[in-house]
Amino acid sequence: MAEEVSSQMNSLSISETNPSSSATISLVSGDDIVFKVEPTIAKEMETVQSFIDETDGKITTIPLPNISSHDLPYVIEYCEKSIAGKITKEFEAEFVKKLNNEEVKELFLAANYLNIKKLLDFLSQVIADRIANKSVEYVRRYFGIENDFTPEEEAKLREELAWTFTGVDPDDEDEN
Amino acid sequence: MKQPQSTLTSPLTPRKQPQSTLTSPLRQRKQPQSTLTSLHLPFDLVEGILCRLPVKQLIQFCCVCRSWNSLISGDSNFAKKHLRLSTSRHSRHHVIMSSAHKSPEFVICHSPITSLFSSASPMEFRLPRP
Repeated sequence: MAEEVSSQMNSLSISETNPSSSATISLVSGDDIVFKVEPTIAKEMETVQSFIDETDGKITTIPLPNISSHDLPYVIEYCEKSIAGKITKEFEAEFVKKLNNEEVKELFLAANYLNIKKLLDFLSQVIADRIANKSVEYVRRYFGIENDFTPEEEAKLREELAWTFTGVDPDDEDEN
Repeated sequence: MKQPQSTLTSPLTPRKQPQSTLTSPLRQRKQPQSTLTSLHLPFDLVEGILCRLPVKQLIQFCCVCRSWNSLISGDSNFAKKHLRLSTSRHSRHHVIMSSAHKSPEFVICHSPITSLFSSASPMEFRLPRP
């Protein structure tokens, strides 16, 4: 880890003395892994781009403490496809097939943090699709929500909404 | 994002914070709830998810908790957002056509408007005339 930091300091000082708009951008994950990306990729990440803009492009190493080295490659992959105009239904289907529920949530938060609207919209839909036929209890667990109704209130509400409680999938334990 | 940027070293400082788990910095950010262990999603993001659900499931999820109930059943802005999204995504504006007057049965075609411009076959119901 120490080596990584020192190499990062090097690249930082180089870019400081020699600012160049075409220099690659180093994104540093929360667990200190450096990902070098083209500036066009950084443009897709509004948070990163505004950081670069605020420093007049002098600083090209961007720490992303909220994003792990596990998630960042997915984000970069999506941004690359987006720039290339290759976000197809097929690509999106393949993209999410690899991700479990917890990973989808992590990427969703990463997209929010980096302010990548397309990815955020896409993952919102993915999560909506994944919970669409799930039970209320499953959804509480998925979102980490505590039931704050009294038993009486909940029973009454469920009775009023009984017509919606058909066709619910049995809960599975694939939350992770 | 507001990060310190006045000095050369400042971008590195957030990394020096001890990070015991990956999820902790994410949860610190915006989450008022305190108890559960799984990764929490901020409420405004949850709203963005819920407005993409089909109506029936959405209404069912009124039972999840009080804040969801008031969002789903009592927030007109949310309702508008839901309507806007569901009409734009699924082309739920439908065309209903019925058959010629003298036919022995009604044929009701039910299809998205966009299908008029494609070869997709509409959903068709045949009903006997009364």
